[in-house]
Amino acid sequence: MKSRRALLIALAFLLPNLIGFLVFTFGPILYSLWISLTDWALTRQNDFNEEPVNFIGVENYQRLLVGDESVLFWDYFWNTVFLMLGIPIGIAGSLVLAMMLSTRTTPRRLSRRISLSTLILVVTILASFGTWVVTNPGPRPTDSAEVLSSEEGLGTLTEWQVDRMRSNGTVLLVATLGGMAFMGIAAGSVFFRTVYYLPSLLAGVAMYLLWKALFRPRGGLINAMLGPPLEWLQSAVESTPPWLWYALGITIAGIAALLCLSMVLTGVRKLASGESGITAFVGRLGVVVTLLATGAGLGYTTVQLPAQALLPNGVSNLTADDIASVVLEMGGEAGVSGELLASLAGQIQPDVTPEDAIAQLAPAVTLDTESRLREVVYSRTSATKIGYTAGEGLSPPEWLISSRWAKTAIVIMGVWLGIGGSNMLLYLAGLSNIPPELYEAAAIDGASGWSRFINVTWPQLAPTTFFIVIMSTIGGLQGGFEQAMVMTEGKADTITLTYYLYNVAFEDEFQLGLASAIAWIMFAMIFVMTALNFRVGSQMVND
Amino acid sequence: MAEVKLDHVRKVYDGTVVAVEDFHLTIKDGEFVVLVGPSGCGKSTTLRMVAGLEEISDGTISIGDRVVNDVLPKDRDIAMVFQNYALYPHMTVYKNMAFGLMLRKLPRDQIHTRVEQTAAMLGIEHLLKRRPKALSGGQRQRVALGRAIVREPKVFLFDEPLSNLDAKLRVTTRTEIKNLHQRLKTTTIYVTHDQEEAMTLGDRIVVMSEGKVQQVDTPLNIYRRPANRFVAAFLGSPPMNFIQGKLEESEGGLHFMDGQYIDLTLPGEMASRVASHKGKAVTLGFRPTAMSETAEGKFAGPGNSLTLQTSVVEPLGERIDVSCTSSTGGHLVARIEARDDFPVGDRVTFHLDMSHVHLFADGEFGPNLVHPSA
Repeated sequence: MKSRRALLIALAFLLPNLIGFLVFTFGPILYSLWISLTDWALTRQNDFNEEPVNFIGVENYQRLLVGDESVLFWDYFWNTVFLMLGIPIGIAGSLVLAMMLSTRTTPRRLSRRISLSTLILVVTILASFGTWVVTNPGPRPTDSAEVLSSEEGLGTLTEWQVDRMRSNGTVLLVATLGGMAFMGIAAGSVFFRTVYYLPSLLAGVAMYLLWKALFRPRGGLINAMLGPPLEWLQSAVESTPPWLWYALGITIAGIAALLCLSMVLTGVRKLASGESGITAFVGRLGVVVTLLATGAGLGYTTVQLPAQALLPNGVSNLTADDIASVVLEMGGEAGVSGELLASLAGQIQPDVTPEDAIAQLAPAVTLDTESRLREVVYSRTSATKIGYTAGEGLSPPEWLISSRWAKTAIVIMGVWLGIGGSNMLLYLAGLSNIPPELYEAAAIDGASGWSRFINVTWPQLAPTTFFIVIMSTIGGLQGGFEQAMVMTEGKADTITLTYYLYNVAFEDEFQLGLASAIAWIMFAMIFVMTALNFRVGSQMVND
Repeated sequence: MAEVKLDHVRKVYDGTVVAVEDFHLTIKDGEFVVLVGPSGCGKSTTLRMVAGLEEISDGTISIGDRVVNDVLPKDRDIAMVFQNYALYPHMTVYKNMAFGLMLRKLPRDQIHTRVEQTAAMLGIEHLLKRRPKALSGGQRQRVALGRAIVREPKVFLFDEPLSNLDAKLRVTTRTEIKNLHQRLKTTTIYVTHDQEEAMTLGDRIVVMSEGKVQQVDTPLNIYRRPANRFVAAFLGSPPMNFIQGKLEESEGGLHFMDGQYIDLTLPGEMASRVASHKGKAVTLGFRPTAMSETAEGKFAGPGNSLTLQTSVVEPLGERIDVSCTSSTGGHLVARIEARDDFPVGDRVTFHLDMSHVHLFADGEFGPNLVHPSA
């Protein structure tokens, strides 16, 4: 009697929250499960249209997994997985960063000697220097007015402006790095902890817009920095015989292979003699695989360099008709109306090089379409042309525009975001919770460097890593929406499952049934992944 | 086996805070030395400098014939037992003990025998496959001991190893450590803040305070002849009684007077030793056991009695502890023969064993005037 009364009182206290949860969370979840079993599309079945909603069973699921939507679904699924490739790198990076930041970087005496006023003075000088450079564009050349790009919202860029942006960017970069180094010396790790966490305080969309600017193919900071080394490499390749590069590539791959072989042999010997355990051996294998992949990749790229760099501009066995058909083929895909493309295709003169043909089309199509056009044409021109899309030898990638590079660009950004964000904070907290006596015991036992990390730091951080891996996996499977929305508008093969869900639900036909089915498939995937993580992870944490 | 020599060792933090001042001591081969003192006295810092976990600001430390100032902890041939055990939580007891040997690249079978032997010696063979979190505090402490012993080092370093154990276990483990030391005969430096531990364990005791060594001697010598007031107050339970007063000459002898009612006549030999302090402020010190209700034997008078206000009686069995207040407000404890009808709350006259009375010069570290240190 009394316990029943207590239960009722407890329920009464829980009720406000419980009602909210039932009405706004649990109810909609159940409702969406029902929706996923219907053919409900808002354009057909709505308040103005009396058409009934039909129960169709698992047809939506069948369409997505094996039916007519499955090509798109699995394509977008693999895009999602591709974007998740950055997660382990990000986690490893945030661990390394946290370990660097948890040690004191500055001797106390030095930081005491630099007073606050000196600090402010130096920062002011650097900042005003940077501002002066940016606000003083110098004399504008009179004759060059060639328009290079016309991205939306960014206006037109001339060669001169791109040059200015490049030099301003360099100056700003140097000023920033200088300021960072100075602040780092003055304030030590506290300063760096703050700086590395700062990005997490920025709103996601603002961040993506900034990165979009960084990734701009022409004038963006990243390509501005990639340009000179690639130009140098281009001229180096042009002025040397190709066999030199073949030999270099094979040597690089060979050295990597030999190193790996010796590492494996040492590992097997140590394992057999009982000098090291199976864990150390597996760790060693991981290093070997990474080294092998890096060596092979570097070697292959080097071997390919002459083919890349020496490909003459615009040489093609395509005729004007071929190009015209490519243009037509791309009509729907690129979102340009068919008639426009047909008329454009008709205008292509015979006997032009593909480059000229594309240049001819350029004013009428968006930069995106132009780039994809170039890509298709070149992919038919020379099968050896990998990696670099533009027809200018070794040029920097067209990051967010070409479907070959867009996902990589998003992964790079994700790694950057993942390293300095909350993962780093979690690892910092985890590191500060490791009892210093463990390190002292390890020092007396003779563990240092790698063995100290493997035997003390890593096991002590296992719960933190476990948490981070679970949260990152969930976030990764749900991720990619804002990136696709803000940075690529879903183009260049960057659509992930969430973006797909959004598109199905809120674009075109408003197919709520199909979209709900996507949501439930995603739920199942996340559930399975998390369960697997828990199964494997909790074993590791307890060990 | 090795001698440990600390040659005028100093530790200064951040150029200003002196943690250890001029620590100069030679620890003989096989000796058990206890560093004792209140927290913050520099005893742990000294130990950590020997271990190599703390840099030495000045002076040299040698283990055996080798100066180890710039030698890494792992190469100093030492083993350390920490207060909170510092066992590797994800390793089994076996691995915890074998870890240091594995890093030294000893052959596997040799490691195995050594771990098994040590475990047998400590009675923890049945725990070898468990992880530390499945062990009780006492078992963990044994594993920590085992981890140190299995290394067969030249020097054992203990940093308050018993303070996380309950009182009963502390006493038994204490005895066990002493036993182990007598079997292994390894040079040992042991840090504690517990004076009882220090007294029972050490061949010699180093009493420290505020970074300075106050006295180094055998436990009984320190107990009987504390070098200064601090040492006298620190060692012994219940602690020594102190009364502030003055040395004055009257009736042909030297008297200690607190200005109120206490007037004690100093025996001849003692009087001649402290004669130079005539007229100066001194502190009288005597252990609770140097008091008696009856003026018999060594407590015979004259001029050795003082009357105190009693407040609380704590029976201990054979004896009772009587808390008293002197006329000047000082708190004293008398440990006397037990009797059932002790008049609590009355003024009682006690007699002192004047041969066990000390006189200290004024101040917290006032030197012992009766037993001046060499």
